[in-house]
Amino acid sequence: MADENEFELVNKFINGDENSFNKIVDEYQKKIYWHARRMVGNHDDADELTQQVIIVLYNKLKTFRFDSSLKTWIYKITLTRNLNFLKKKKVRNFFSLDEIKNQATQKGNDIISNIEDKEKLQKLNSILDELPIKQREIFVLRKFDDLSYEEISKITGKSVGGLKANYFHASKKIFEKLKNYE
Amino acid sequence: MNNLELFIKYTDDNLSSEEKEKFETKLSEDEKFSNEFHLFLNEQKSLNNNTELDERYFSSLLPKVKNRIKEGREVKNNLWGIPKIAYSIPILILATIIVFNLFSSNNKIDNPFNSEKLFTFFTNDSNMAAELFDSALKIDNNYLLDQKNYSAIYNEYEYNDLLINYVEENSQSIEINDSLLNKLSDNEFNLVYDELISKKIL
Repeated sequence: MADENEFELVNKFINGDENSFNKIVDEYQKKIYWHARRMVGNHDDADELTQQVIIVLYNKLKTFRFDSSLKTWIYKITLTRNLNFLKKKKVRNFFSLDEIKNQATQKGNDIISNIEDKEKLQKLNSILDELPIKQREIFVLRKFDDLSYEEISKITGKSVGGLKANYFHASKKIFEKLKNYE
Repeated sequence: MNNLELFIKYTDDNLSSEEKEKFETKLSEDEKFSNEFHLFLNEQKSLNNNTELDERYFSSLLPKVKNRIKEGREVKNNLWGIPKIAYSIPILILATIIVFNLFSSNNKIDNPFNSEKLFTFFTNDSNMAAELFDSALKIDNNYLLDQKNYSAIYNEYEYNDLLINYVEENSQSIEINDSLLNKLSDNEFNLVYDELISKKIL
C-alpha cells in the first residue's frame, strides 16, 4: 500500500468510510498477528493481542496526523501491546499464578495445521522465549518483520547503533541455541 | 571475532568494506569456512519458514473485532442508565485524582500517589492498602502546593521501599488477583513493573 494511498484511506475513514478501515486492516492484520505470535509464542494470546491492536486502530485512527508513516504508527501500537502483555505475564509468573501462567497455551487453539510447521515454530518460540524481551523484540522486527534499522529506530525510539548491537547479541544466542538443538 | 559472529555481521551487512572484502576472499579460498557459512545460511533459512495460516481466521477477524467495538459502545451507553449514585462514585474518585494531581507536583499523571489500586495490587490486603493510601494523602497540603518541594517529598516518603519490602517479605504468600492486575492502567502497570525490575525482584 503506497503512502499516498494510506493517506487517502485514513482521510476517507475519518470522513466515515468504514470500507477504508477494512482495507487498512486487510493490509496489516497478518503483520500484526505474526509479530504478536512470535513475541508471545501461541495463537490464543496472539489472537487477543491482534484484536486489541485493531480496536486501538479503530478508536485512534481519527487522531493520526501522519507525523510518521502509518506502518510505523501501527507497529508502535503493536509493540506497546505486546510488551505490556509480556511484562504482565512476567509479573504473573513471578507471583506463581500457576493457573494463569499457561492458560492460553492450554486452550491449544491454532491456525497452523501443518504439523512440521507447528513443530518448527514451537522450536523457534522456545529459543526466542529465552531472550530478554527487548532483544526478542528487535530480533523479530529485523528478522521476521523485515524492517530496516531506520524503521525500527523510528518505532522504538532507540539508536540504530544500539539496535544493531541488540540484534547481533540476539542472533548469536539464537544460532548457538539452534546448534545445541540439533 | 569467531565465525558465527562474522556470519551474522556479514548477512546483516554490518562489516566494513575492508572486512567484507576479506570475508569474501576467505569464502572463495577456504572450503571449510565456505561450508560452515552455507550451513549457517541454511539455519537462517530454516527460521524463515513460510508457514501457512488458516485464511478463515483472517477473514473472520475484522467482523469479530467490529462486534467487540460495538459491544464496548453498548456497555458505555448502558452506563448512563445506571442510577446516578453508581457512576458518581468513580467520577468523584477521578475528580479527586485530577485535583490531587493539579495541586501536587509537576502534574505527573502516573505518579503512584494516584492510585489505591496500585497499593492493593502490591499488598492484596485492603486494610494495608487503605493505610498506605491514607498515609500518602496525609502529607501536608501546603507542602504539596510548593512544586519545588515535590521531589523532596517524593524521596522523603519512601512509600516505594515500604511496598517493595512488603512484597519481598510476603511474596510467597501474596495472591495477586489477576483481574486486579488487568484493571491497572498501562502507566500504573509499567510503574509497578519498572519498580520490580529496578529492585531486581523480577
